[in-house]
Amino acid sequence: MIYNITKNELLKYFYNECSPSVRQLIEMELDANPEWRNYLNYLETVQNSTKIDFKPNDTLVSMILEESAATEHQSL
Amino acid sequence: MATTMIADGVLIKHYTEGNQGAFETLLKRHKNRIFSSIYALVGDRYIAEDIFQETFIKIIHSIRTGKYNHEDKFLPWAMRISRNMCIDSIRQRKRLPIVVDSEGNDILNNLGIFEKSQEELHIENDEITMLRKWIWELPEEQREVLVLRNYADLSFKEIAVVTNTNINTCIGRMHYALINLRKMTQKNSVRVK
Repeated sequence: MIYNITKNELLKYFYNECSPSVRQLIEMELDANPEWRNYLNYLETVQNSTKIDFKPNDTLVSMILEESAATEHQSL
Repeated sequence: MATTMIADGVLIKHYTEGNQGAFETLLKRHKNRIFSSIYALVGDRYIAEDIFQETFIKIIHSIRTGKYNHEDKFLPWAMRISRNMCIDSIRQRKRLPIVVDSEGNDILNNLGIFEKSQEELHIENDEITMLRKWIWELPEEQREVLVLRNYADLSFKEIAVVTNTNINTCIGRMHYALINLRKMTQKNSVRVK
């Protein structure tokens, strides 16, 4: 392999933030590098585990909308 | 038929022109990501709700007074506001004395002030909750990058702007956050699905 892929580049690859050339290189070499696959699987595990979609309660959202409407009246 | 999502910048423009519905769309589009990020940073639903409300009040006033000039970078801008409030809140709480009862438990935890919601109770014993607790154990700077990347879905470039650092620092912090989480996982011998 000519170019050494770092974990930071794998990190950017996982989050779709690497350059197209690095992306292409990683995808070409992925099968030959099980440690890359392990790292990407780990990133996926962490991401899935942190995907807890907490929601603000509806009353709070209504209060913010009321505040927004009130400031509109003030600015008229 | 495919529908096109109206860009945040366009919604804000409509809002400044008096279209209240545009603000409602903006709020509903981003509320869960912003709230989840705040919650993950401060670790307390009630404090998170206060910060969430204060964040949006500040957003409303900034837009109304013509101070918004970030075009379609609404989310990073909103996250920067809420992140600064989270930091202030965490620092304030660190300065508060901890009052304990006769058994040494933090008295605030026994007053029912921090009662858990149904959704929190539902996941209380879940492995996901364990991981979230470990995220809270991470150094503040590492936790911040992980939360902004995974909860708020900001790019590393956007996180660098929000946190006043550079992209390599952000990626480095994320990398160390992952290393530390793995160590905690191994130490606690819990397999995270």
